[in-house]
Order: sequence, then C-alpha cells, then structure tokens
Amino acid sequence: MTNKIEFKNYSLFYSDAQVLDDVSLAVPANQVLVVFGPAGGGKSGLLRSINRMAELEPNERHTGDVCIDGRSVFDPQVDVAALRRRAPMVFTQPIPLPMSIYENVVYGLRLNGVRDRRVLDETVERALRDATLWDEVKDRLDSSALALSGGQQQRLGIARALALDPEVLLLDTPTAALDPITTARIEELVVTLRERYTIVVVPHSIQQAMRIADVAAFMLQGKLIEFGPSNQIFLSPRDDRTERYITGRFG
Amino acid sequence: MAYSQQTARGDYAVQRVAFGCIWVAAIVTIAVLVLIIGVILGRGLPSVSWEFLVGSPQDMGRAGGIFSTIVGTVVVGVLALLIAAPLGVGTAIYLTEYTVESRLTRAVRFGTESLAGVPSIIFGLFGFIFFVTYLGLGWSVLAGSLTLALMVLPTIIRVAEESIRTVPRGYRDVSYSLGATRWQMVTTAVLPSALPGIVTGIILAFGRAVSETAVVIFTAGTALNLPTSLLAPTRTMAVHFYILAVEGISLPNAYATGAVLILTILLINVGANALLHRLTRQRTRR
Amino acid sequence: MRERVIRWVLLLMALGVLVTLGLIAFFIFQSGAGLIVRVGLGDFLGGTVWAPTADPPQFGILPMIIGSIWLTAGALVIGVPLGIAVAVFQVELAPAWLSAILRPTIQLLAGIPSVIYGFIGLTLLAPLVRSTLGGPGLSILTGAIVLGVMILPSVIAVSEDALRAVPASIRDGAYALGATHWQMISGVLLPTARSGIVAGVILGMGRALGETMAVIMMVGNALTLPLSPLESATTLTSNIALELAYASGAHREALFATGVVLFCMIMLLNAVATMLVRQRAFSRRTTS
Repeated sequence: MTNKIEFKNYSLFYSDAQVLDDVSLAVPANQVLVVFGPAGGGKSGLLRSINRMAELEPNERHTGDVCIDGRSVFDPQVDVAALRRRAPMVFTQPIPLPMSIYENVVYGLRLNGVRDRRVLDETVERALRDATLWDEVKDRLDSSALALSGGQQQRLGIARALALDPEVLLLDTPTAALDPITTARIEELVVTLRERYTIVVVPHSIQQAMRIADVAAFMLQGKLIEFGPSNQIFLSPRDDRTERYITGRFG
Repeated sequence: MAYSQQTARGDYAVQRVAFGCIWVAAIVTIAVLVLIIGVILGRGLPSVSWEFLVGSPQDMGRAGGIFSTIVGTVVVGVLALLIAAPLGVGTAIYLTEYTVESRLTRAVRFGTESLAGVPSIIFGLFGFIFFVTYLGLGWSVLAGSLTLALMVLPTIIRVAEESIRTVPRGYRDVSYSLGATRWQMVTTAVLPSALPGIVTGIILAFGRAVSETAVVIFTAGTALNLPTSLLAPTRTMAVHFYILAVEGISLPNAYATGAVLILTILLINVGANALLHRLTRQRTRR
Repeated sequence: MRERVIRWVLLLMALGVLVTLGLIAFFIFQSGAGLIVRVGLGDFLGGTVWAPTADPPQFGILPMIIGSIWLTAGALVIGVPLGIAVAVFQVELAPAWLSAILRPTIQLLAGIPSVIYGFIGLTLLAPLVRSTLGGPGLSILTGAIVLGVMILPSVIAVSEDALRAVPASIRDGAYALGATHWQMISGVLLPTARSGIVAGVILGMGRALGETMAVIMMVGNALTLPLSPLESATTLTSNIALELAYASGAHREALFATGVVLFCMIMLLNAVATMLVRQRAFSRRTTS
C-alpha cells in the first residue's frame, strides 16, 4: 500500500507559538486517518498543513516536510491553488456561500475555469449524490443554500469538495455542529468515501474516532504521541498518555 | 438611613428640567431640517417646471432654465466617482485582504483620515494650483472631477473597508480550501457580499460631490455653456445656486435651483438607503 | 504571476492616498510659503491691515484669524450643547419611533449643501438678527448660529459613539447607588465618555474652521477687526474664496499663504481629534 500523505519531521509555528513539534507519520492511500486528542494539540494545524492552508495565518513558519504521493507540497513548482483542489477541506461550521446550491457545488470548478454547462450539471449531480444530498435538493438546485438545514449545509460542503474530484479529503470536526442523526449519516458517508479517497478527519469525540478510523494519530500539545492502526491504538495503546485519554481520564 | 429617604423632589425637578431641555434639543434638530427643506422647496418648487429643467440659462441666469448646470453636475460627479470608486475599493481590498497590520497600513490609514479632514477650500486651492495651473488643464470638467475624486476618496475607502470587514471570515477559508487564488477569493467570495455597503457608500459619496461648491468653482469654472469636452469649463447646480444668490441675480431662480438641488440630495439619500435595505435583504433571506 | 501584478496594482492604489496628501501639502506650501517668508511670519499673522492691491501692499491676516476664531467659537457654543443633548437623547431618552426619525434627519442635515445653509442664513436669519439685535445682520452671530447647526451631525455622531461605548456595568453602578436617570447621565455617563465627546468637539471645530461657502454668504465679509458678534467679518476661508478669482501676482501668493496657515491649523486639530477617537475605540475594543 503506497503512502498517500507523509509528514517528515514537520514543525509548525504561528508567530512565537509552536503548533506542531517534529511530527512524522505516513497515511496509506484510501484509508481514514483520524487525528484525535485534547484541545490545542495541533490537530487542525496538522490538517491545514496538508493543503497549505496553514500559511494563510500571519507569521507562519515551518520546518520539515509534508509530501503527497512522495512529492513535497512546498516544492516551488507546486501550484498552491491546484494543491488545494486535490485536497479540499470541510470545516466545523457549515459555511454555505451566499449563492444557490448549484453555484455552491460548482464554485471550485468555476474557479478553475470550467464553463461547459454539461460538465457542470453532471458534476453537480455526481457530487450531490455522493454526499447523499441529491434526492433532497434535486428540485431546488437554484434556490439559496442559506435555506438548508445545518446537516444539509454540511453535506453541501462535502459535495463542494467532492465536486473537485480530489484525491484527499480533509474534514475538521465536521459533525460538531450537528445533531446525532445527521452525525451518523455523515459518518456513514465518510466510511463509504474511503474507497475512492484518502481521508483525514479530526473527530468530534473519541467514540466517533473509534467508529470511523482505519489508522489513528494521538496528538498532545503539538507532539505526535502515538500512531498506528485503529485496532492497536484504541484497544491496546502503547503509550500511557494515549490510554488515559481514551479511557477518559483527561480531555 | 437618612439617605434612603432622599431622592428629594428637588432631584426629580432637576431631572425634569434637564430632560425638558434635551427633548427641546431633539425637536429643534428635526424642526431645523423641516424648516430648511420646507422654505427652499416651498419658495422654489413653484418656479420649477419642465422648461426650467431642460432650458438653458439665459441672461446670466436671470431667465431660462438650468439645463447646462444639471449636465455639468452629472458629468463632473459621475466622472469623479468613476475615478474614485476603483481607487477607493482597490485600496480597501489591499488593506483588508492583501496585508497584515504594519507600518504601511497604519500610514495609509493615517493618510486616509487626514485627507478626510482637509477642508474643501484647500481642495479647491490645490485643484486650482495643481490641475488647472500646473498641469495646464485650465478650468475644466476634468480638473473638477479629478479634484472631487480626491476629495471623496477617503469616504469610499472607509465605507469599502467597513463593508469588507463584515463579510464572515469563513467565506475566505471556504474559498481558499476549494482552490481559489487570493484575487479569486476576493472577487468571488468577499466582494459580492460586501457590495451592498460599497454601492451605498458610492452613492452617498456622489451626493457629496453634487453638493460641493468651493472645490468645483475653482477647478471647473463658472461657464454657463454646455460642456462639450472634458477640457471645457462648466458650472454645476451648486455653483449656479451660489452665484445667483450672492450676486443677487434672481431670487426666484435661486430658490428654484435650490429646490432642484435639495430634491436631488433627498433622492440620493433615500435611494441609497432603500437600495442598501433591498440588497442586504436579498443576500440574507432568499 | 498575475497575482503578483494584482498585488502591486493594489499597493499603488493604496499609496495613492499618501501621494495625494503629499501633493496637497507640497503645492500649497510651495505656492504660499514664499510670501510668508518675504513678509515675515509675525507681520503676516499679526498684521491688522489686509490691502493686497494697495501701494505698497499690506498682507496682515489678523482680522481673518480673529474672524475665524470668533465664528468657530460661536459655532461651538451653539452646536456643542445642542449636539451633546441630541446624542444623549438618542442613547438614553428617545423612544424607538422618534429615534428612527432622528437618525435619517441627522443624516440629511449632514447632506444638505453648505450653500443652502448659507442661503438660509442670508435670506432668513440675517434680516431677523438685524431687526432684533441691530447691526448689519450679515454678521458673526448669524454665521455662528447656522454653522452651529452645520457641525451638529459630526458632534452628534462622535458623541453618540462615545456614550454607547460606556459599559452597562458603569451605568448600573450609578443606579445601584440610588441615582436618578439624570444623575446617572450627568454624574457618570457624560464624564466617562468625556474624551470621546471632546474628540467630537474638536472635529466640529475643524469643520467650522474649514467651512467656506456658507460663511461667505452670511458673515458680511468686512475687512476690519471684528470686536463684537454683531459685526461683519471675514474668515481665513472666505478671504481666500472671495479674492482668488481675480487675484494675481503677490496678491495671489498671499491667498495661498493664507491657505497654508489654514491647512496647518486644521491638520493639527484633526490629528488631535483622531488620536482621541482612536484611543476611545481601542479601549472599547479591549474592554468589550
């Protein structure tokens, strides 16, 4: 199994604050990596480093490397915008853009210059189907996305990302703002999407992590404490701190 | 113990007097506006007719209409905004999206606020020295528009910056995460949402440009002919009104011109607010 | 690549404000400073005779300085209490419907052209002043009253902001000690908002000092040193505007020099006001 994403001794700083400290891990392709740990551990920073969203923070510095398919994302020849289209992100708060559902889904494609109406139509249907939203909205694609429920908006966010036909999906606590039923649907969705994409998720809770992970990484104050297949991490963690966090002794 | 018995009637009496004065102040403010608009419109509207609006001034304004001044006002104002709007919005975009707070941004903000405080006579003087004389444009539409543009620039920058800052931060994140370049992010995710505020600001700036006299009289001149080119001098409504009033040429015509001027300002203000209302409702409801 | 070009273009646009300010300062100074040097700053500012076309020409602008000061002071006397009162009204006393009427009213007052204000002063107020108080009517008093109204929107806006910035805890504190509404306002609210209100006053001062067209129409334009508010006078601004069109040579230079003096005075005032406003806003943001 090839490694889709690799972190090599990667450290991240926002001004003087160190967000990540010498992280090294490798994510195999078509697997769900769950990055969990207490608040402030650097989980979001890890995600944002994969698609170079971290550098949008003021005074960002990093050392070490992050690679996708063996090639550094910081390579000067890399087109950052194209990189982000390969690894789009879905955020905690569903953020529909103030446009129609249709326009939201094709937003990324339009940025890329795609104008052919047929291609756009097909993409919209494919992405919304994959995000399990198609049946609910197929009759009102031109209505405002702001009118959707929270769960629908979040699935719209996923559809937006899928529309780009990416290779990697980055999900930052995607279900934190949603009710349990919708959360379950999205978790199902993530598990089915694994067949086609490599997914990195920051979970909302330990239970969610256990439900969807193939591999897991425990982060504490910017350091990678433990990393491995989910069975091993959750059922027989090697590090004491991992075990204490999982059993709820701190968090 | 004695204190709780207080709140003497004296205290409440003082309060009644004070509040009475304050209420009077508020009423006076409204009354003044009503007075000004009432007097001008009341004495001026009867003289305003279709012929007045489309007829050219005759006999130095003693007779005839104000058509050339209306044209002058519109041309100078629109041109000024055409120059100032892109500059102002571009500056606001740069300050909000393209840099972090630094010595440069502080300097630009200082410059903007300083420019906003420069009185119109100084702008008129500057326009006269720089555009009319030094650059040799003479008294012209172009000189007037350029000077006016510089005068309303700070207003546009302020309004644009405010509007851009109200756009939710999440839009930027979403846009970037789907592969937008910075400029794409600005034009597709930020500006459309900031547009209602920006457009309103531009319309209100136009209102200021229409009202301006000291600037225009020393840069665009006072010629009553219809301006035929950018380098031709022209007279705006406000300048015409001023000349009619101060030189005692024609009191009825002065009132009439004033009425048209006030109506224009009213229209611009009401229009701008209505537009803002409608555009923001559209954005958030739909 | 395209992104870099865009960034540079936007940067140049942003610098435009600074360039403009620099150009204004440069050209105004360049046109007027020479005369100030020749005549001597003391004689220019302190000279009581303005006779630029006489032989030899005299360039004393003291009458204009005094006129400007009289007029600005008068405008403040009228406009500041009125403005603060309206601001207090908007923040503390106004029922919602009246507040909703007042807001666009103030906005419209701000939008009315200065020449209209001057016209009202000329045709309505000046005759009234002449018939009730004597004098020529076209006087500092007339100008001060109208100018006071003209600076209302500025004073109200800044004062309102300052009053609204006072945290509820401070108001509650006053009430909890048994203060009446007015006692809270006068004893606690206004003093707390003092620096913001002062900023508004200084802003109004700058506006009054810089007003030109309305002043020309109302203040009489006499070249003598004004000794009472019922006299006619000339201000720095009206002097420039009235004579520029037909001045030439040294006369014109003297008008530019007057502009230099005016520019310096107003820039100073605005800098002080801005500093006060920024201080207010900064402390508000850090406390809320």
